[in-house]
Amino acid sequence: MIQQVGRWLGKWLLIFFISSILIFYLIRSIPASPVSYWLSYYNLPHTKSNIAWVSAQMGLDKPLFWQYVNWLRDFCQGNWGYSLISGASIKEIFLARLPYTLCIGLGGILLAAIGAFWLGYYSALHRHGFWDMVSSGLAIFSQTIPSFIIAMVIIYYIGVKWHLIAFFSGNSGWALTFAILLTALYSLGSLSRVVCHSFQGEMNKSYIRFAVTRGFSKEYVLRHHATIPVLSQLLAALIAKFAWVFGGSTVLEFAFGIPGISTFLVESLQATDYPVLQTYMLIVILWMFIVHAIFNLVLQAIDPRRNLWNEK
Amino acid sequence: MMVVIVCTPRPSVILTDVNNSLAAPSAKHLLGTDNLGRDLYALLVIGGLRTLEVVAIATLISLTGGTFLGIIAGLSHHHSVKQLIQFFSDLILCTPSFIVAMFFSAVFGFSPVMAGIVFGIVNMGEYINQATNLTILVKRQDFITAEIAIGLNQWQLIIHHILPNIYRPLLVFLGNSAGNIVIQYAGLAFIGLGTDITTPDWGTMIYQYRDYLVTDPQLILLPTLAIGLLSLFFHLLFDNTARQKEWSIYE
Amino acid sequence: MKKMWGILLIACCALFLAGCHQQKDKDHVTIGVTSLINKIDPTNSGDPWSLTSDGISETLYTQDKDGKLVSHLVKSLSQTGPLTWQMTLKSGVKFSNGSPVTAQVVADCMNQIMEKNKNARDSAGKLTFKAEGKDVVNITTERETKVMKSILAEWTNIIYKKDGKSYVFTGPYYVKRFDPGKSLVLAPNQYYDDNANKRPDVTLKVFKDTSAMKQAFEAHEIDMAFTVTPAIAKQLTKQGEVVKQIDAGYQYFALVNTNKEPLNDQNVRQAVSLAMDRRAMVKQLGGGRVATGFFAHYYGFDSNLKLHQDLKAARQALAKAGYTTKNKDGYVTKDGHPLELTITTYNARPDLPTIAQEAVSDLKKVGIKAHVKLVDNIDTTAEKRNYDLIFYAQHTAPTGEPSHALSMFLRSDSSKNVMGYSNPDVDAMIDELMKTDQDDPKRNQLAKKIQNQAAKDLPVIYLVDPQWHVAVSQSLKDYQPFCGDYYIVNPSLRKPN
Repeated sequence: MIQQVGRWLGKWLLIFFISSILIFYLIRSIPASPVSYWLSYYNLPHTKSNIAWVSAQMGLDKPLFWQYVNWLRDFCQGNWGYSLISGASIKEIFLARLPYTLCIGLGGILLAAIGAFWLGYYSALHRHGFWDMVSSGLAIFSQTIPSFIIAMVIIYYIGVKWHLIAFFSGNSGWALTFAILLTALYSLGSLSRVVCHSFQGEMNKSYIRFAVTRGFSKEYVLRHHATIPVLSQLLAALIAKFAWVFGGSTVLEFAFGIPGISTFLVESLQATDYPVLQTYMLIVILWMFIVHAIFNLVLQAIDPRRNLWNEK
Repeated sequence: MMVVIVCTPRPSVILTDVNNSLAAPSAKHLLGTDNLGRDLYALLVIGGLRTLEVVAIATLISLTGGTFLGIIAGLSHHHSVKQLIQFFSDLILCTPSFIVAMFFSAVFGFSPVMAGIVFGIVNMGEYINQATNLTILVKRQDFITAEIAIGLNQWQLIIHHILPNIYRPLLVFLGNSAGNIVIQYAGLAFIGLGTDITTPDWGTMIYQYRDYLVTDPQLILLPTLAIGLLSLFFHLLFDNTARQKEWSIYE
Repeated sequence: MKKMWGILLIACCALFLAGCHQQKDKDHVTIGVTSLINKIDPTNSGDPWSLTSDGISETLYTQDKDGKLVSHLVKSLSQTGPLTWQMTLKSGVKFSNGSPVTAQVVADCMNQIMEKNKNARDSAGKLTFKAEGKDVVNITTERETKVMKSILAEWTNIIYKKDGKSYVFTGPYYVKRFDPGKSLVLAPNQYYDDNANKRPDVTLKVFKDTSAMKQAFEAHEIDMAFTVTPAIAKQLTKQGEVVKQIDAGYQYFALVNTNKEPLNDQNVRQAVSLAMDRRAMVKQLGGGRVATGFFAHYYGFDSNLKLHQDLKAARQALAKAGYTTKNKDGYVTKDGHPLELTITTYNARPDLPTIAQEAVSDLKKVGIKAHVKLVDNIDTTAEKRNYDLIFYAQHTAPTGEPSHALSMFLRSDSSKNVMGYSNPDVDAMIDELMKTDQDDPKRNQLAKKIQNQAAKDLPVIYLVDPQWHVAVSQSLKDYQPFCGDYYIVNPSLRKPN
């Protein structure tokens, strides 16, 4: 077991290294250089001596390998550098913005998971019944209507037409609430299908069929015996959703103007703010690592028969 | 139907016409014009073609690449090859495709080809996993083991037994992922990093016309409808509805 | 299950009710703007302009509502020799922290600006300031000039003083809270004059997206939207909102990269200029007029060129440049290469993408394939000099005087000459313009001559003399912006009753 956990950690370390190298070279291959950006920003001429001086200041005159090593070392030491645009500490910006993004992602998905379990359960009980229709309808809806349209409509009616909520000024609490609800709504459909299919799968297994033919109600049997396998399938589906937290919240953050980390990414991309982009990508990988680690622990706890540290 | 849409003559989407902005549908402009006097029908068709381009490139890459790598991983006797492919699929499975696509469009410019390649590669992970598992299932069947013992070679095995058995579930998955790509591409164009505002994409159109949500709702409704219909079409195209199971005792 | 939904529903209702109880602060004015500074640095290129526009800083001279140059800081200014001037400061003027504005402080900060901000050296070269006593500052210029007042009114020349880590200024407002690039909370500067108590607190909030700004205005979350696009202005007017039309003073024009293929060929530049349907642009914008020169029509020194679309002449110019064949898409080619241009522009002036789209349509009519690229930081892009065409907006006469803009854009190697343009005749005419007295009618003639020469050489293509739209709430309906967006937050702002 310990050996397997060790190998699992090793795999992630490898993922981290390979991705960091990819990110580093990808960002270095961008045609525009931060040196020229910096000079233009401070209105300085692009003379050779100026370029050399700024390059030295930014550590860009060293061989690429050492630049990479220095960058990674600084990152691990918590020194994430400064934004080229505002000069602010990237760590501070991220710490200020991360809560919004995590709130939308985690809040939305957890809400969806709770809803999906019950919606899936009721749709499994009555095929083609009301809840089954709702669940299928939601699944199709979320796969055909882009969420930003719904966001636009919400902002227009609730914010502009009826003046119920101030979306543009004050704190972003309201925009955040709606972003969470929309995220939940958009995950609810597909997750409830997973739960429904998983319950149906269990219902076809002999132990359940046997219990039902013995006269127990199917509700009772399902709730008392089928919950654990269903939950573990739901959690496995959630891992994929969590990969989506960072990228997927972008559209909603953008539409609602929430000052999360994804809107910051969009701004940094527009301005090609390299240090920010590099750090952002590493954070995403770290996030994925944490999610996988936590989910593996939880899954292991509720279903000890599965051995997830040795995936497949 | 598609052929008819693509072949219908339509005006250029670049030409603006100030004197004819926000016009109602007419024989000249089938669906009317937008705020700059551009033909809405033509904009929708071009946007649709661009979306289809993305879907085609992306699914081609993930289907062929994913199946290929998956079969190799499923058949290979070398542990290291399996591990390598598994590692690759793990790596791309935890890559957020949307962020990578935004990144590339900001840096290298927004284009359907770019989006198609990014979505194609990043979505490959699921295909690899599915193809690997399906291949292993097929390989374990008794008759296959028997045939291998008789001397069936690898290529015959792949072409006659593995591919016919795994393509159906993979196509169902393809339908779903193609539908999702339609939505993701729309989102990417909506955010609009690196887009050329004179080339129409459905997402770009929704963003550009957002001022007209109330006064001229057709400008928003039509692209939304187009996105929904295309994505629904992909979902239904390969959907395996005949998932028959024994339900007698419950009903 | 039902219980859970019930709880959720109640929670939602509670949140809604809480939201409805938002009270609006009556003494607070919120202004939506399209861009905001990222840091407060008074010597950094365009930032001093923003600081003045936001009511924080002041240039030595400022333009008043009637276009006259006045000063809150300077008592008198006189020329003492061809290259020397003497300026006497008003006594008792203070920074927003109460410290006095002395001759030494003024000389120090102006010398620092001349050193650090190259935009400050465009008119009369680098100026040197020397304090003499408490109130007198002597100025020495590199080039002869007759328009020192205007030079001192240029947006680079603001008065500031370092106060610990931050800066203090002399404008009617001071910075209370600053969220870089996002919002700026201002409070009246008590040391500015006796009316500080009558002024409201002001929040400036950035909307990169004018559509969001419009919605925020409709939702009464902002009291002023500076500025909205003509399409939005039309919608708002229809809804009965107050929308003010102002002559922007800004000009929309194209910067042309004269050092790069294919626009290094004057015939191609000519073709582009002739292809532009400026009347259609004005119509797309729903206001303004076709540009007749580099300046707004109400200035006496604006030229009176008649620029109109001439597709036939444009095609002839292209043929002269060697683009004689067409490919299957209908685009002109030379040696088998089609003529492709990229128009780069930016969102902070939402009119520009609109006219860029019109331009793409116009260029297609003469067989030029064009794309539009939107960037965030247009000046950085311009600086790299790797563009074809940049659609740009600039107030070309914020000091009511033409030599500054002409010198800044058209003089060889000056700070905003990113077109790589160099014409010795133009340089000589600009020098002469600077030496001519403010009241001499020759000034306007010279300014026009320079504009006309530029219209021939085409380092810039004049496009539109626009009109802007500012939406204001009922409580601000008396507010009148002037000089484009140079003084958005100005001393005349009063608390709404």
